[in-house]
Amino acid sequence: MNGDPLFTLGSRVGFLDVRAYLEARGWRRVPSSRSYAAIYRSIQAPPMEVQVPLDRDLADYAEAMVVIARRVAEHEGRSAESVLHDLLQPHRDLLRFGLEGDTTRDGGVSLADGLDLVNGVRKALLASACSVRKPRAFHPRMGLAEADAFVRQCRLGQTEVGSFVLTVETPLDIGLQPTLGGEPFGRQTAALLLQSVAYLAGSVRAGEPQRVLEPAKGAPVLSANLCEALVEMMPSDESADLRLRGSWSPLLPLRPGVVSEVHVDRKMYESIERVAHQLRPLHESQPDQFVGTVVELMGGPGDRGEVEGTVVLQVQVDDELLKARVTLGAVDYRKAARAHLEQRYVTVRGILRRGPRVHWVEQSSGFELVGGPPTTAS
Amino acid sequence: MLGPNDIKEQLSLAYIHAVASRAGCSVEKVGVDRDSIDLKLCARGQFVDDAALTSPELAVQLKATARASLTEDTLSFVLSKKNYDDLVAHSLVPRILVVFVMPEDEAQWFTLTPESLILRRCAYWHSLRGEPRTANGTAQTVHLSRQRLFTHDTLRELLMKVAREEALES
Repeated sequence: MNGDPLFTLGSRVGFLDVRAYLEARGWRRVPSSRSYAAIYRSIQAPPMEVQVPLDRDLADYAEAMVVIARRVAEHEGRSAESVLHDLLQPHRDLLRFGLEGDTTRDGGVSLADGLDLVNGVRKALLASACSVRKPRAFHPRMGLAEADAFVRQCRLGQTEVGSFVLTVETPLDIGLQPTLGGEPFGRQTAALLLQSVAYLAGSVRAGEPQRVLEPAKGAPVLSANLCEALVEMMPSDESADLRLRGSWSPLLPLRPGVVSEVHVDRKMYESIERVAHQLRPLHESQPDQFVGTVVELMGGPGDRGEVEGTVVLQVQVDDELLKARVTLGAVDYRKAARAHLEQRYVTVRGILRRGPRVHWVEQSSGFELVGGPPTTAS
Repeated sequence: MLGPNDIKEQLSLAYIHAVASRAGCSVEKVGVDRDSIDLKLCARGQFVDDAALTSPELAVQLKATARASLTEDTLSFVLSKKNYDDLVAHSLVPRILVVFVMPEDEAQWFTLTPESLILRRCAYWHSLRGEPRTANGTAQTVHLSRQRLFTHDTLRELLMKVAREEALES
């Protein structure tokens, strides 16, 4: 055995999982007279054959697994490494979110873009989980217990060679409710996510993004939350496309028609952002009172030489903590600075306008500190 | 410049390539020595009508020697303990030892004229599969039958056996 990472992975792969994987993908087992080997042939072209070792004590067990992974990879048009990772996680579906562009070609990504990708992926999973139970254009809270349990049981998998790829291992089932013959909640969520993004990308590509606002019969109901999550995944350098891939657990047959790969071109993001805005309900545009803390002061000297401008508040909206910008005049800006220094709460009235990355409190009024001694205008 | 041992190794590889080519097989070099395997000999497609395996492979540990210990029937060769134990181990792809015997006189190893290209002497093959692991500390002597020449015909026979899932020794 040598230190080749592929062989290290190969040594950990279980032969029962390999058999299940091949059988789930239509490979046909042919008779073998050896008790320690199974022979499988692909039904689809090109014709291909693999030998599966059925004894972990075989000296070339790891090597045999790598050979299988290479042939399956060639058959499925992907890397042997990703096949081996799938074989190591047979009880989970794997979702891969790849950023493919100039700056990610070496397999790395800036910390900021990486964080945006992780946050976007988390929101997309949550939105999709909510849509499994309640298909709707907007999930105001995304607080369903099942959705929350699903996301909590997701794991980040190992990164893979190539463009920057975030691998998320999703549970098949989340154990809150028994699966009575139907498809487990986890699989439904992962499949719906890919199906929704494929429908969205297809509509944009066809020049008909409006199609997702009133989806045809059988098409997924897209949520604003999912669209916003996709936009959040977009890297800042504007050179990278997003590619989603699903690798499905061999332990659970894949229902026909499930999408396994979607390519979201960088040029689609503007349309997706517009769709997200249109999917949000109109009643969100009503004024509301917000309470929160000042987390960032971004102002500068105004016409009269006094500091004024934008501050960032962290406010509670339903059960979400949102960072929202609000533009203040010099007097309110001083209050905000004081609240920031004294770590006090502030309140403001306005219309919350959500965005994929930045939220705003517009038409703001009544900016005040909460509690403590009264503030003065000077 | 290559030393004598490197030259022996390269000439033994040339021998294997020549035999495999004549047998219609490919030679796959194993990049890093894995479990004492130097290369794999592979046939592609339906190699024989009654085959269970369509693309049989044979893993080879290749040695070369110019100081062979030969009797009329056998060639004795000293293998390191690691090489020996790796070759007796049970494996999915059958493993054989191939020993290329060369003349002692270095000038005779390889000659080239307008009429001929001569790589003198030949190689023998042996399967150690299923033999007990050695109790020796560092090395084990292996006795190869001089009947088992490693030629293009024997290579094809060996690969046919692999394709039929038969034991190589039978």
